[in-house]
This record gives sequence, structure tokens and C-alpha cells, in this order.
Amino acid sequence: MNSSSPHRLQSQHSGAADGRRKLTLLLVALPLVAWVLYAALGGRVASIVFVKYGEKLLAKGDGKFTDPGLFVRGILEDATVILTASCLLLLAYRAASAVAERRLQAPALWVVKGWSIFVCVNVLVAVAAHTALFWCLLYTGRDDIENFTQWHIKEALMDEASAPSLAVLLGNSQTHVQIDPKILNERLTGKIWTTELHFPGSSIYDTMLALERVRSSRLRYVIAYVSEIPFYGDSDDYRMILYFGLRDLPPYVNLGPGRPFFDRYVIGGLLGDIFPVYQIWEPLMARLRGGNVQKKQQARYDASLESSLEERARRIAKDYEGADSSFQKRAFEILAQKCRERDCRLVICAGQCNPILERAMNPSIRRDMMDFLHEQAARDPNIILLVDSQMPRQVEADYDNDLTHVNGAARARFSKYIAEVLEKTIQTNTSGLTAYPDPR
Amino acid sequence: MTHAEIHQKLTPIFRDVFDDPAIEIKDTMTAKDVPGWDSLTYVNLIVAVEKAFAVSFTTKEVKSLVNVGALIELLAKRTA
Amino acid sequence: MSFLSFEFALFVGLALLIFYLAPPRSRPCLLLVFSYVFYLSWSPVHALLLAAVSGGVYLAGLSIAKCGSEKGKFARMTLGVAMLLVLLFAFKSAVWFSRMFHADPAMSIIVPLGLSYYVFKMVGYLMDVYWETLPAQNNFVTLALYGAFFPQIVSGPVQRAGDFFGQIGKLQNPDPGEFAAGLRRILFGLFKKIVIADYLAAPVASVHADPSRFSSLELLFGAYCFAIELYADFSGITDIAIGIGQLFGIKGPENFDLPYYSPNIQMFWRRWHMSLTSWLTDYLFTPLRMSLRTLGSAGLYLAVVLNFIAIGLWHGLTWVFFFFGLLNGIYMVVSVMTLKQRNRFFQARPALAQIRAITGPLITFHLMVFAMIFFRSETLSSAFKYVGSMVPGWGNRSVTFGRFDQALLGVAFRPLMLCFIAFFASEAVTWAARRQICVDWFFTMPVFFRRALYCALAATVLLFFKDSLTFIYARF
Repeated sequence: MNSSSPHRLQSQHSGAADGRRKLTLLLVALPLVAWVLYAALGGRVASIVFVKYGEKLLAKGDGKFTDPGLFVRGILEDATVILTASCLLLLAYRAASAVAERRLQAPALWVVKGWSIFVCVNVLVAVAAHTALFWCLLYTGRDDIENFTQWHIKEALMDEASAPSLAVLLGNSQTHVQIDPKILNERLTGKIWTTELHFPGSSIYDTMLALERVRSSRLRYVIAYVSEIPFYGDSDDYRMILYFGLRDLPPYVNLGPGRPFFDRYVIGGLLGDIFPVYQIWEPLMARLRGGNVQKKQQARYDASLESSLEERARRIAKDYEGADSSFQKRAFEILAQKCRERDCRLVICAGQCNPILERAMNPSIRRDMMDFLHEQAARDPNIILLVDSQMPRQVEADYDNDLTHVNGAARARFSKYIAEVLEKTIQTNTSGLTAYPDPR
Repeated sequence: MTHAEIHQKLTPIFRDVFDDPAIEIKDTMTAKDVPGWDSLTYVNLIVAVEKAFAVSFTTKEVKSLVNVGALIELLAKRTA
Repeated sequence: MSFLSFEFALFVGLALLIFYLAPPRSRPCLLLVFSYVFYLSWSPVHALLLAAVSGGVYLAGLSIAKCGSEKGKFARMTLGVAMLLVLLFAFKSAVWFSRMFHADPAMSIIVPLGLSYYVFKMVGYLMDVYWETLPAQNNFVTLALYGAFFPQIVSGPVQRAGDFFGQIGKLQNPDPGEFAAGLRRILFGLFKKIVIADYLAAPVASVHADPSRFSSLELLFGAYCFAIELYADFSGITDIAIGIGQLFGIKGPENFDLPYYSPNIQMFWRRWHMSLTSWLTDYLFTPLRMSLRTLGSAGLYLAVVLNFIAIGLWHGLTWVFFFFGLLNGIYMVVSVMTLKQRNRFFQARPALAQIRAITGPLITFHLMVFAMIFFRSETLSSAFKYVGSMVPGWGNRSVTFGRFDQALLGVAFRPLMLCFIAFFASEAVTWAARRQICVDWFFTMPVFFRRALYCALAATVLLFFKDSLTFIYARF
């Protein structure tokens, strides 16, 4: 028998243990070094990048940020955060699997290890999803429809703006096509920085959920373009999967009936909240695969529409007839309440659609909506309600063969108008007056 | 009939049903040992056996036969 | 929840965690709870039905075993089986009627998930108890779990009661090797389902939507694609089902054994959906054949045709499935009638026999490709339209018979070729694994290579998971 073999085994063993200890040390040291480097050199690197690539970065940012130096510094900080989280989670995983190995045998051991990996990955994603860098990495380009990714990039970057107060544009695609944040930001430089955070197809409830995900404490204005669609339209609740979370559950229960109580959208939202991997799945796959599912779906939807606007309008109008809007109205009240609590004004443009659609619609629907909005505005001075008679009138030609989305010229006109409204609001806010009393 | 007699009488039936003149039957023989023994030929075999021995089996009896030995046992009981 | 969804993966993961951390004695009960949680996610009402059926069969089994007289046993078995079959037939015919009379879709009846599977399992159990090939199950949890076992309830395989009960003991002490094999099996199944079947689904759907728009060649291509799609889809799902079962320590029966290389129709049906066809052989065909045996050859042929019509109608009470069954019954009768003569003919001519080894499987495959056109069609008339359009020069169509329009079919050359290569590779792997070829070599390879291979497969599956929204929009 070879007498040296147990000895050798032992030394191998201690060699492996040595390796493990070194790795642990590395995992602790790496984040520390990264933070020291960031603190010492972050500013310098940012200014170098600013000098060299500032112009290019600004162009690429497409109005999402104003200060490339600050942006680069933020990205460097994000990278350090993600690195730190990765190292700590790797340490946590090693600790967990060491405990599991002492107590369990395969296959139970594998199951527990599998879960530890899954949990760590989810925690990492949860941490990373708070950074702009993470979403920038998922972004595939302006040609794709990546609402969720873009939403997060913009949301993460908005706090970098130097303006004293921030505004967001919330709502559905109508908000997006009506108001151009670039025009607002040009007109209101140094006063208000506006970020556009719409999500196509949003109902009022979705808008309320989205507002909750906006983290900035400097938010002072929430601007939404609201026509009948988010109140009466029968959209699917896809956005709930993205924005609904555990904290929304109690208010949702109190909100009462109006939508299927515990359906796949609620479950999807909760799953996404508990397991962030679920939420980033689609953007991640789009990033890895290159193709974009949402784009294809949009194309399929567009192809399925009637070619005649009149016909389309009649169908939509018929759907609105007798639709129950009580759920969305209660959601609006919560939206207004959330704005009050955050000390920000809620600017509601009680907007138009293509006159073709307006004509097809039963006038009592618009009356019902306007009555509700007036009532809300009368009760809550925080709401700035802009109605038809104040806003620029939009005619059929402004819509270019679409029932709800205006063209570029109308967008510019409307954006200028909103900029004026905001300007006046700032002026009167300081004197304690409301620039836009309820016109009724 | 004795087991040996039954054995002797069964052999040509097996050879005919499974179309193989070389088959030698054994008590431990099962479907796996005979090429071509499947659900179709199995019932053909039972039908031929029933005819040759002038007996009639129930489905339950046929189901319970695990090998050729069991068949011989059953036939011995019936023809006794 | 559907098998191919994040929710289901999470469900299986949680179930595994609870299962392996719980005391071994409680595992059968836990597995029963998981199975019902899974079933409840489809339909709470139908879960009640499943529970009621399990309770009824449990009592029926015990009462058959306890009964002293042969006649009493028979009566009890017949009553139990008849009730189960009436239940199955009632639901399937209700669907048929509601479709016939175009009832309001909101009111239309849905067949409970997995009804055909669990009814067949339970019928087999009662007959086994009656035939005394299996003692009646005293443990209600075991029997209820047999009926509701979640990996098998959606699309099989149909496991025999004896096989299942025999493995319950393994729950206490699961084998790591089996667990690892289960994981490999799931990955392999996902690959077949997502990379092969789901890609071919697009051209198949387009040719069947309106056959008159397509050329003969395109229709022929569509027919081949469907044969591969159906096989990859069904065998893939079965692999996933067997694999998940293995994670919990229960191995289901095999369902496919390279059916497309069968030398004749008889062999095909012994290697395609094996768990169902062998079930039907034991519990339908053999009893039927036994009772029709006085009719001689006619009895045999009648039993064969009835058996195949039953296979067809098992998929649903529609004329297409009836015709599919009938067609296969006819194939089978012709094959049975001529097999002896064919064998003699080729025995005398060894040179031709070598050719037969190649042509046999080819002919069998094409007979099935043809039969599957009916299987896929919505109605019998559209199936005949499809077949008619495949014949060049039939009817007055402006499409040339040799046209191959990739855009119209919804395919592209490169991914299509990759898909076919993937299919043949997966078949080669199945072949090698079943016949233990290269298996040892594979498992003596360095761990690193195997892990890299698994990761590559998993990545391919994820990247090919086209309709990433299905995991959201799948029926809950």
C-alpha cells in the first residue's frame, strides 16, 4: 500500500481550501478596490470622456440627458454597484452551498443549490434594474419597439437633470405623440426638466401604477394626455405584468370591482415583482436574439386594422358604448391622490381624438368623462385641467390617416402650448395663484 | 392429459401459428422468446389451442397466463 | 399553467424544493397536493371531478377484490368501467353537440384537462384488479396520485397502475442518477418541441389554412413537415413529462421508439404513442378479439378496425379522427392479411429482401404522412381538398405544381435546413441512447464537455423560444 497517498490527499485538500480562501479574499477585495478607484478616478475619467466624446454621447442620448460628464460618472457608479452586488452574491451563494453540502445529499443538494443560484440571479437583477447602465445594455436601438427598456433608461436618468423641478409625461401613446419633451426642455431650460415615460395602451390604472415606479423626489409635474380611450377603451392589461407589484395589491383590493380580480396579469405582475428575472425576460431575449416580438406583434396588429378610418371609428365607438369606466375613474382618484402626496401637480389634457372618431362616438361618453374630470378638478386644486376650448384645436388633417395619433406638426404646436402652460404655472405658483382655474 | 402429452400436442400448433418449424417449446417460454409473438398472433394461438383441445378460455384466464408453462398447467386442469 | 411557461418552471422548482426538504414519508402526499395545485390552475370544477373519479375507482377496486363470486367481480368491474367510459364519452360528445349546434362559445363545454388519460389509467387499473394481475390498492393517496400525477396528466404517457404503484417506494429515496437523467430528458424534450416542432408549425399552419393557394410540391412539403412536427412535438412533450416524473423519482413509460423507421405498419403502431397503443391492445383489442374469435379471420379484422377507430376517436369525436382511425385500420388489415405471403416471397429472394429493408420503412413512413394529412385537417372536406390539390393537374389551379414559395410557406432556407439537421441529430441521439451505443463514451467524457453541451442546448432552446409572449398569454 502506498503510505503517502492519504497524506497527499490531505495536502490536495488543503490546497483546494487554500484556493477557496483566496477566491473569497478576491471577492471581498474586488468591490473595495472598485469603489476606491471610482472615488479617486471617476471624476477624471468622466471629464476625459466628456471632452473627447461629449458631443457624440449627447447625440446618441437623443435628449435623454443633458450632461454627458454626469452621465458617464453615473454609468461608472452603476458598474461599480453591479460589480459589488455580483461579488457579494457570489459570496452568499458559496456560503449557502457550503451549508447545503454539509447537510444534504444529491438530489436534494442539487435542488437547493439550483434555488440558491436562482435567488442570487434574481437579487442581482433587482439591484441592476435600478441602474441606467443595466437598461442601456439591454437597449437594442431606436428602430425597435422597446417600451419597457426605454422607460427604465429614461426613468433612471431623469434624476441627473440639473433643473430644480422635474416633470414626467405619463399615459398612453397619445401622450407620446402629442407632447415632445425636447420642445418642453428647450423652452423651460433651467426651470423644469421633462422626461417622457409613456407606455402604449396604458389605461388610467396603468398610468397610476407607472407613476409609482418613478422614484425621483424632485418630481413636481405629472402631465397626461387623456382622451376617452384610457377610460372606456377595452385594452388588455399587459402593462400590469410590468408595473403591478406586491405593494399594489392592498390598494388594488380596495379599488373594488371593474376587472377580473385575480387573473394572469395580476399574477404576472406579482411574479415579476418577486422574481425580477421574469420581468426582464422579454427585453433580455430581444437583446440576445436581436429580433423583437413586440415589433412583430405591432405589425400584425396594424395589418389587422380596417383600412377605412370611418369603419374603424365605428367599431371602436361601438366598443365604448356602455363600457364600464368606474374602475378607471376610481384609479384616477388614486392617481390624483398620489400626486398630492408627492407634492406634484397633475396636468390633465382632456384631449381630442381624430374628429372622425369623435363624430362616431356617442356624445354622452365625452360628456360623462368631462363631468368626471371637472368634478375632480373642482375638488382638488392640485389638478390642472386643460379642456378643448383652451387647447389648440386639432382637425382631421392633423391625424394623417390615424384615429388617435397626430402628426409632427400638430405635435410641435401642442408641445409649445404645454410649455406655455407650464411656464405660466411656475410664475403663478410663486405668487400662490392658480394659473388655470377650472374653466367652468 | 399429462403435461407431456399436452407439450407434444402444443408444439405443432406453435410452429404453425408462428410460422417457424424449428420452435421447441419450454415451460419458461414467453412472448419475448418467440419472434412474431405479438397481441395478434397470441390470440391466434389461443384460438388454435382452444380448437385442438376442445376447450374455451375466458379473457381473464388468457390474461393470467404468464408463460407457456402456465398454459400447459391450465390445459391440464381443463382436460383432466 | 402550460408546460412551456415560466410559471410552470417555477411551480416545478418550488415543488422540488418542498419535496426534497420534507420528511420522506410525507412525499406521496405532497406529490398529490402538487398535482392538485397544478390541476386547480386549469380548472377548480374539473379538479373536483378528478377527485370524485379517484374516490369512486378506489372504492370500486376494493369492492372487486373483496367480492367472493366470479359473477359479482365481473359485474362490479363492468359497472365501474362503464361509468368511466360514459363519463369520457359524455364530455366528448357534449363538445361535439355544442359544435354541431353552434352553441354560444361562452356556454360551450370544455373537456376536462387530461380526462382521456386519467379515465384510461383508471379503466386499466379496474381491469387489472378484476383479472387479478394486480392487487387492489389499499392506499387512497397512491391511487389518487396515480390518476392525478401532474407530469402525465396533460398529454400522457399512459402509465400502467402496476408500474406506477411499484415506484411509489422510490419516492422515499430518490436516485441521483435518475434525477440527472430527468434533467437531461427535459432539456432534450424542450429542444425537440421548441427548436424543431415550433419552427415547422408555421409552414404546416399555412398549407392547412388554405390548400388551394399552394402548389403540389408545397403541399407535399407541408405534409412531411407535419409528420415531423407532430412527432417532435408529441415526443418532446413526452420527454418533458417523463423527465419531470424522474425528478420526483417516478419514471413514466416510453411513448416513442423511432417510429418513422418501422419496417411495416404493425411495427409503426407498436412504436408510436406506445403507452396508448399497448394499453388499447391489452384492454380493448385482446378482449375484443377474444370475444370475436368465433368469427375467425373476419373477427380479427373487425377487432383491428374497431381498435383503430377507437384510437382515432380517442383524439376527439370528429369525422377526421374517425377517418384517420379507419384508414389506419385498413392499412393494418391489409398488412396483417399479406404479411405471411410477403415474408415467404422475400425469404425466397434474398437479394430483394435487402431492398425491402430500405423500402419497407419508406413505404410505412409515407403511408403515415398521408394519414396525418387527415389528422391535421379541421374537417374531412378540407382534408380531401388538401389531398386533391396535391395531385398535379387536378382541378383548375393556376399554380404550377413545382413551385416552392418560401415566403408563402413562412420558412427560410437556412433555418429550415438547421431545423432538419436538428431533427436528424435528435433522432440519432435517441437511437444511440435506446441501443446503448456511445452512451459509455459520452459519460466518460470530461464533465466540462458535457456541461458545455447542455449549456449550448439550453441556450439554443431559449433563443428559439420564439413567441416569448406565450408564457404570458398561455391559458392559465
